[in-house]
Amino acid sequence: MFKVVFLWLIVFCGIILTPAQNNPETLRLLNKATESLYENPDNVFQILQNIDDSKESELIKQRVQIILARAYNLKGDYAKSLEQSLSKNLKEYKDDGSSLYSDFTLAQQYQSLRLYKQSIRLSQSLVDKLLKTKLRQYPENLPAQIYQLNASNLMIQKKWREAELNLKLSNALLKNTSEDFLISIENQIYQTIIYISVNKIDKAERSAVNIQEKLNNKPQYIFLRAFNLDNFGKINFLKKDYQKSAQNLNDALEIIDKKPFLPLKNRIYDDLSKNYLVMKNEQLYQKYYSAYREETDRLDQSKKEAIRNLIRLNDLYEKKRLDQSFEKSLNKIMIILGIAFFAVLSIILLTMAERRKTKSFQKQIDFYSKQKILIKKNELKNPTAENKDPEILKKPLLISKEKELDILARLEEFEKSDKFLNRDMSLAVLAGHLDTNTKYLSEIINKYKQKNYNNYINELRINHIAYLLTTEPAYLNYKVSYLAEKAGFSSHSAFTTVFKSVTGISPNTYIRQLTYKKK
Amino acid sequence: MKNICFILIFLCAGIVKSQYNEQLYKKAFSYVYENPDNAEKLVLKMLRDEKDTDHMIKLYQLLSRVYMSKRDFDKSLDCILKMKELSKSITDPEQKIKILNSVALQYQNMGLYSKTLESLDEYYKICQTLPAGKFKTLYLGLNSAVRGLVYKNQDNNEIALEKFFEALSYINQVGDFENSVANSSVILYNVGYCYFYLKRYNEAEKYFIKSAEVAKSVHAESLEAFAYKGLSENYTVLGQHQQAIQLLKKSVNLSKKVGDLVLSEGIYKGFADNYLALQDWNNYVLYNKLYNETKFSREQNELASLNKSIDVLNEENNRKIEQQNRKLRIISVIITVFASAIFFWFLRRFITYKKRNGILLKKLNQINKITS
Repeated sequence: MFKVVFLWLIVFCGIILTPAQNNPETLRLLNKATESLYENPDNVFQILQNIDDSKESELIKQRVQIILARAYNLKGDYAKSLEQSLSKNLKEYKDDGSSLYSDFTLAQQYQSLRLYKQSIRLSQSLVDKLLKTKLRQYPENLPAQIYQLNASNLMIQKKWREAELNLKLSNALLKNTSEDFLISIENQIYQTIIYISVNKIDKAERSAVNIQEKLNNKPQYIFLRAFNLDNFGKINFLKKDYQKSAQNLNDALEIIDKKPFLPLKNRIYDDLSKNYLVMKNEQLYQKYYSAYREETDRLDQSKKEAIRNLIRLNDLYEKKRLDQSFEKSLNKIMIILGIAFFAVLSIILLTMAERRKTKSFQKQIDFYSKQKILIKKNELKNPTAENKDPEILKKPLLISKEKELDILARLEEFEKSDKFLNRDMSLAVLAGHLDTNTKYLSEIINKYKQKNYNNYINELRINHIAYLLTTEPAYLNYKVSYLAEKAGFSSHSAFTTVFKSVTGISPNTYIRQLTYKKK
Repeated sequence: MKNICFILIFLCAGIVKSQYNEQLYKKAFSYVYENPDNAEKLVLKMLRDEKDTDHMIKLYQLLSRVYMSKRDFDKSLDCILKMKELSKSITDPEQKIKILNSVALQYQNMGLYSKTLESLDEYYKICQTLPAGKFKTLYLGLNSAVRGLVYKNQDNNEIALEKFFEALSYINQVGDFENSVANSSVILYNVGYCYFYLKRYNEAEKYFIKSAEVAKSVHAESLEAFAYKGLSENYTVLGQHQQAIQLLKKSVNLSKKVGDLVLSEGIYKGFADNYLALQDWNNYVLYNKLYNETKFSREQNELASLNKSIDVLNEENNRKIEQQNRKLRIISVIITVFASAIFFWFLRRFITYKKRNGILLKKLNQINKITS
C-alpha cells in the first residue's frame, strides 16, 4: 500500500525536476562571441557557427540569438537583427528564464527601432519582475543588462536621475568576469553621456579618462574605445576646443576604420562635421556632412525595413505570450487535479485497507472463540450434545423432527471423528455415511450451521488443523503444504485461501503467532 | 462669382452620385495619420456600399495609405493590387493612366522601386497610344519625374537629373494644367538637391531659386519654404552663413502656416549649423535643442500609429490572459471543493474503521491471552 504511494511520489518528482546542463565548451564560445562584439561583429557569426543549436538548451539558444541580434545591430543592419529575433522566436518555450530573454530581446529591438514607448513598457515590466523575484533564478548577467536597458530608456525620456540609479543597480550586480567587465564599461559610457547631457563637463571628462585607463589594458575592445573617444570629442566640443575634439574624433574613426560599426561611425561623422563647420574647414565639413547624410539615409532605410517585420515579430510575441499563459493555466489545473486525485485515491485506499483489517479481526475473533470452545470441549472429554435448542425450530421444517434430530446427532458424531479430513468427503459421500439423502443433509447443515456444505466441511478441517497446531507443538514445524494435505485439501493455495477466510489470517501468520506465544 | 460656380458644380455632383459621399471621404482622409483605425473603419464602410469603379479605386488608394500609416505593409500592398485589378476593367485610358500613376507613387513611398518602375512602364505604353494633347504631355512628364525620384532615392543622382529634366521639358509645354506648375516646383527642388549631392553647388543654387520662384507664382507656401530650406543648406556648405540664416528666417515664416515637421526639422538644423559656424553659441544651443526635439517628435509621430496598434494588441491580450486566470481560479476552486468533500467523507469512514479496529484488536488480544 505505502509502496504504491511512494512510487507515485517518485514519479511526480521526476516530472517536476528535469535537470538542465550546459556544455562548458558552448559557454566558452558564447563568452568569446560576446567579446568579439566589441572587436569585430563579423567574427561573431563565425564563432557562433560552431555551436550546434539543435543540441543546446533553449536558454543557450536564446543567448545565441541575443548575441547575433546585437552583432547585426552594431553593424547597423537592423533588418537582419530583427530577422534573427524572428526566426528563433518561432519556437516555443516554457522556461521562465527564456521568456525573460525574449522580453529583453524585444525591448532591445524596440529601442533600436525608436519605438521607445514599447521598449519602455517592456523594460519597466522586466525591472518590476526583477524586484519581485529572487535574483538567483535569473540566468547569467541578464539582470544587469535589464537595468542597463532600462537606464538607456530613461535617458531617452531625459529622466537622468532615474537613469543613473538604474546604472548603479546594474553595476551592483556585476561580478568579476570578462563579460561583466564589458557591461560595466558600457554603463560607465552611458554615465558619461548623462554627464554630457546635463552639462557636467568636468565629471564627464573624469569619467571618460577613467574609462580610457581601464581600456588601456584591453586594446582589443575597439568599439568601446572609439565610443569613449567620441565622448571625448563631444566634451572638447562643449569646451570649445574644436581642434582637440576633431583630433579625438579622427582617432576614434581610425580605430574602427576597417570594422563595420556603421551607427557609431555615423555618430562620429556628425560630430566631426560640426567641428569642421565651426573651424571653417569647408572641404572637410562637406566630406563628413555628406558622409553623415548618406549613412543616415542608409540606416533609416534599414530601420524602415526592420519596422515592417517588427509587426510580425510583435504578433508572434503576443501569440506566444497568450499560448504560454494558456499552457501555464492548463499546467496549474493539471497539478491541482493531480494532487486532488492523489489525495482522494490515498484516502480511499487507506480506508479500504482499514476495512479489510476490520473484517480480518472479526474473523479472527470468531475463530479464536470457536477454538476456545473446541479446546474446552476436548479437555472435558465429555461429549454431551450441548443445548443448541434455542436456535433450532426457528423455521418451519419439511423434515420430521425425529429424523432431523437423528441426522443432527450423527453429524455431531461425524464432527468428532476425523473423517472430514478425507479428501473425498463430498456431500453425497457424507449423506451416504449418515444414512440420509443429500437434500436433507444440505437442508440441515444450512439450517443449523448457517452455511453451505463446502464452508461447513472447510471450517471443520481448518478448525481441526488449528486445534492441532495449538495443542501439538510438533505441527508448528511442518510445512504448510503438509498441513494442507493433512487437512484434506488438494492444493497448498486452496488451503491458504480457505484458512484465511475462516481465521482472518494466513496459516503462516497463525503459525508465527503461536510460535511467538510459545516462547 | 467663382465661389458660386464651385458650389453649383459641387451640388450637381452630389445629386448625380448620391452613393458616394465626398465629405465622408474627406473626413476619412483627415484621419489617415491621426487616427488610422477610424479612417480604416470609415473607408471599409464606404467600400461596402460602393459600386462605382472610379470611387472604389479612390477608396482603395486611401485605404492603402491608411495601412501604410499603420505600417501594415501586406494589407497596403493588397489594396494596391486591388486598385490595379480594378483598373483593368476601366476602358478610359486617361483614367487608367491616373490610377497607374498613383499606384507607382504608392510603391515609391514603400520603397519598392522595381515595382514602381513596372507600373511606370505600363502607363508609359498607354500614354504612347494617346493622341497628342496636354494630358499626354503632362503624364509623360510625371512618368519621368517619378522615375527621377526613384533614381534619386537610389543615389543615382546623374540619371535622376536626366529624368527630371525630361519631365520638366514635358511639363513646361502644358502650361497651367492639373497642378502642373506646383509639380514643376517640386521637380526643380529635387533637381537642386541632386546637384547639391553631386557637390555642384552653383547649379544647385540656381535650381533652388527657380523652385522658390515657381512656388511663389502659384502661392504654394510649403513648396516655397522647402525651396528656401534647400537653398540655405547650399549656402551653409559654401560657408555663406549669414545668407543662409536670412533664408531660413524667410522659410520659418512660411512654414508656420504649414506645420510640417519634416520642414521644421530641416529649418532648425539649418539654424543650428549656421549659428555654430558663426560661433553664436547661445543660438546654436537653442536651435540644436529645437532640432533634436523636432526630430524626436517627427520620428515618434511617424511611429505613432504603429505604437498604437501594438498597444491595442497588447491590451487585448492582457485582457484575455486576465480572463483566463479568472477561469483558472474558478476551476481550481471547484476541483478543490469537490476533492476535499470526497476526501473528508472517506477520512471520516477511515477514522471510524480505525477506532473499531482498535476495539477489535483489544478484544482479540484478550481472547488470545485466554487461549494461550
